[in-house]
Amino acid sequence: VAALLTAVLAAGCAADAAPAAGPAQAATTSPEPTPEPEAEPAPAPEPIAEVRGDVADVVVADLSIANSGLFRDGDPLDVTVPADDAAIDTHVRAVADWLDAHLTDLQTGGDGLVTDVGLTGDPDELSAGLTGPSRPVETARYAFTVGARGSPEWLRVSVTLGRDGEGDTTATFVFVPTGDGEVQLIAADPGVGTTAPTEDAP
Amino acid sequence: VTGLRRTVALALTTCLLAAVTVTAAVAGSSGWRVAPGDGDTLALLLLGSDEGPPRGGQVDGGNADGFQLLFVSGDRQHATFVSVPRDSFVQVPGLGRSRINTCLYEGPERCVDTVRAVFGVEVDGYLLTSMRGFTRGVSRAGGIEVDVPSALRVGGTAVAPGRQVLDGPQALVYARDRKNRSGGDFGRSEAQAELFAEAHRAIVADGSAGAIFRALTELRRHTLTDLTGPQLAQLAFEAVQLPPENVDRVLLPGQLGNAGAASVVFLSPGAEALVQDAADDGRLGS
Repeated sequence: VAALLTAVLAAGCAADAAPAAGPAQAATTSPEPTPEPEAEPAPAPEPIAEVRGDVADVVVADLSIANSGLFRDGDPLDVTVPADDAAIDTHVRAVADWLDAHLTDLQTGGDGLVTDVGLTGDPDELSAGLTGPSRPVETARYAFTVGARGSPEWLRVSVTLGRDGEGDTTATFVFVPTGDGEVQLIAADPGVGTTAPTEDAP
Repeated sequence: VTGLRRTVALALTTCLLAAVTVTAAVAGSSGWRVAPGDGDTLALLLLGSDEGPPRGGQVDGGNADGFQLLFVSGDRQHATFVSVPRDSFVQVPGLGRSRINTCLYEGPERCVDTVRAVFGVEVDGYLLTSMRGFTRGVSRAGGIEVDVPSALRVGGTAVAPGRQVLDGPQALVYARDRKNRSGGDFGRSEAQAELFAEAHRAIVADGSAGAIFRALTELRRHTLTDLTGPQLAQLAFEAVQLPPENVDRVLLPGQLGNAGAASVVFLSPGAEALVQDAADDGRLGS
């Protein structure tokens, strides 16, 4: 991203410099100015293709022990813990933000911000099939299943990426909360999307 | 303990269930990239209570008739189940000389203390279930495929010999029956570890997110544990690196005997060293 910004700034400075040269040239006199060949206009810098995924689904899988058989059904300890919607929303947003940054970085030639995550396998190959500078995504859809006992305990997200002329590309990512609304990637299956989960079959 | 606990999670176990995991081999075939573990050996204590429904007591206050130790190597490439006979006659902290399963009278933490006192091993986390919790968990997870060596029966539930997928009630019979299998209580203890190992094998063979999360979800719902939910999830995916063929099982050796009027098992002199060997790096004899 930094390299791209540098390139954009450099291109912008060059564009600003060109008009500034105009008045200086006009101030010089030449009886028969030779018309210079018209320079081709510099191509406009490619805009940074920032990915903003659509959080399409959030399914909450209740991890409470109610009806588990550990306690008698209906026992005061056999309880369902109400889902903490605010905490779930916070963590879903944190994951979506991470995925947006991940895909945007891949698309601008970066490593997808995964080098430091430390998952098994080659970090360069982790998400290389999802997107890249030569094949930016046009749509991104995030379908969540959140395992929660009140607060979220894990977040599974199925990512579907769309482009004109290509079929969808899918992947699955798994995160856990680390406190203060932050999340940590613990697993990824970059080549496999998963069918829409349900509460009964998370 | 704290170091392991931090990473933890696996779970292979539990109730059966669980072992949620997948292997490097699986990771290779399914494409999973997972957290590699923190390099420390993981030690889990898997307990099955004889109390809780349908009986009247509380799940965390009965006898720990299921008593398994699971050690996973720091690289998550090897693991060993150590099956501890429930009647092992040992020094239970706070209770004196007693069968090891009585540790649960004082709660699962006392069982963790007992493992430390008897075997000199630190446990990173425990998972405790009940008979009904186990039964429902297995049923909701879709059953466990196992090769039943002989006809088994407990109460009105019978299991025929042969390889088959056991539902919850049948899996409970497999885990409990000691009268109709060779080895009696020793054989039953081995069978409990076998269920865990088979559950792990099946999940690895499937390798899908659905299989992993189904096991993880039921493990979470059907056990009491001192591990957090995020720890269990992380453990589950760390376990993805564990090849089923690298999972060993061993029964602690001992001799039947009597302590007063009670039938007990006197552990062999090498039992402690065997546990410590497994705890060292998740492998035996290395």
